[in-house]
Amino acid sequence: MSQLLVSGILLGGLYAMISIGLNLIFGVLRIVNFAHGEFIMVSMYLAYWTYFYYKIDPYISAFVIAPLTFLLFMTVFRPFVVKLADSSHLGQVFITFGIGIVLQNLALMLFSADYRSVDTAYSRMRIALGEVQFSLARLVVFLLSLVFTAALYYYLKKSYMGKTIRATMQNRTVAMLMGIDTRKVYVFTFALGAAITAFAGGLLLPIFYVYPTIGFNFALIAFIVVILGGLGSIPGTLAGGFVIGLTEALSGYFISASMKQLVYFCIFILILVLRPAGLFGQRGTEELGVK
Amino acid sequence: MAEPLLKISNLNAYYGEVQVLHDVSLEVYPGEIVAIVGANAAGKTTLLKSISGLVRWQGDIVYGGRSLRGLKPNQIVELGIIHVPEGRGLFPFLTVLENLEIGAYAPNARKAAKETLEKVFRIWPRLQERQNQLAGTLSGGEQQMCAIARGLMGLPKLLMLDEPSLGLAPLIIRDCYAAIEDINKRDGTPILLVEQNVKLAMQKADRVYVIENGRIVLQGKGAELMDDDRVRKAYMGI
Ligand SMILES: Nc1ncnc2c1ncn2[C@@H]1O[C@H](COP(=O)(O)OP(=O)(O)OP(=O)(O)O)[C@@H](O)[C@H]1O
Ligand SMILES: [Mg+2]
Repeated sequence: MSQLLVSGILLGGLYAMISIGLNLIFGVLRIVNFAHGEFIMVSMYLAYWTYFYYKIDPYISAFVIAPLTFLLFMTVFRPFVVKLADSSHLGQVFITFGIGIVLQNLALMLFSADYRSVDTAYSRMRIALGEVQFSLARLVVFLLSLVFTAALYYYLKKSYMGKTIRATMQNRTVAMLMGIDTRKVYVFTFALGAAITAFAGGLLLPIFYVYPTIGFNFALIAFIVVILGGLGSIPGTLAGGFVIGLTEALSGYFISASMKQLVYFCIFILILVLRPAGLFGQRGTEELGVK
Repeated sequence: MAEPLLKISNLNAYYGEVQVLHDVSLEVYPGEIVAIVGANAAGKTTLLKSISGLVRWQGDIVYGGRSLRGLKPNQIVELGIIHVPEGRGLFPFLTVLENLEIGAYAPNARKAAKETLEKVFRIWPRLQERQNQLAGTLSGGEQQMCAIARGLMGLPKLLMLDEPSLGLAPLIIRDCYAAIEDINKRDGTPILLVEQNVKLAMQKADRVYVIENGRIVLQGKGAELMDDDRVRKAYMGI
């Protein structure tokens, strides 16, 4: 039983980690990003090839790939983000869905459908605490998910830029009247979300195989986690991750592993019926950004 | 009189292809309170939005000797033109204090934010009491207070107010206008305001422009217009 709980909680941290970036982009900015899974996939490949050619550990390369992603979105991809920010939700769905498909097919063309993984010193390392066992890589992801949520929470809550981001999301026109260059805010926040997502991708590499369509499952879970936790709520992402992680671990054991998605969708619906704004969402904010 | 601080000439404004303002000309001189009055959908808000760079326009808007053509809203704010929007436009899920802080976004305003905040709290002690409350949960009167206060945080050289009295009880309207007159008298900040309540506008403003279907149809000193028969008939129901 305690093994199940520990696995569930570690899995929850992992799910939170892959959802934090989406929470910035979808939860805070209200940009529907259906390419989220492909962002993860691409960063996993980047980490994979960096490891393959240069023997650089994914935990190290993540610290290069993430800032690089940030810079790319601030510069080369800037027009793309501006275009997204100015589109309707439906437009965003089409654009990002299309980008996701293109990225998948590019990966398929360039890297084939092979499952690839890295074999670092620690990727098979397991830690035993009494009867409970778990892998080191999962513990690392779990701990980093705590660090990231805490840091981002304080950043959004306390820093001037954080307040600027929240103001812009709550009323874009009035934000302009305050002197805020709202496009800059969108581009910056999107780039930050993409960078955190890229970082998460690197952390996943020692745990999962990478292949062109791996993003789909991650994206599905990330959307559920973000909505469950509450759009824009960073602690909510952590809570949402734990709910889904624990549900998956427990239902996999007590019901059947093949039913886990059904079970967490039921829980997802139940929670949203009881709390439409999500676990930690501020009531009323779920309607923000509905254009 | 001196040079106008704001000079709008032959302004046409558009939403997409639809023209909303036609050939509007208007001036605001240093230290003045100028009111724009008119019925619903006359184009009052659109006029303020044009000045703030939120709608597409032709003609010219010159502020402090410099044309605003092609400037982005944030650049216009940096020039000291502060627009308190219709319906307050507070950030509902930010606290009162956070709203005020964001009001001082422009670089020069942000440098002075601490002193300005003290001043604003001196004018409206109530906002200080409620500084940690979410702005969306303030009463209507408090929200208007907060919106004007947030405007002051931007160190306005020209303050534009869109229907500050909207939805407020008479007593609160009086307080609100007392504060506006205070800002104008004490700091000499010129004020351009939109007001549905024609009588109120004529009492409070030095000069009034009447706008109908996107055109200026009358203008003059507030006190004089009050005696104008056409105005009395059309707007004051007398
Ligand atoms: N975003 C917009 N898109 C298209 N048309 C608009 C838009 N905003 C306003 N209009 C139209 O422009 C005209 C003028 O609107 P405006 O808001 O300037 O009127 P107003 O004088 O401020 O009215 P009120 O007293 O009701 O606030 C109206 O016919 C309105 O329908
Ligand atoms: Mg209006």
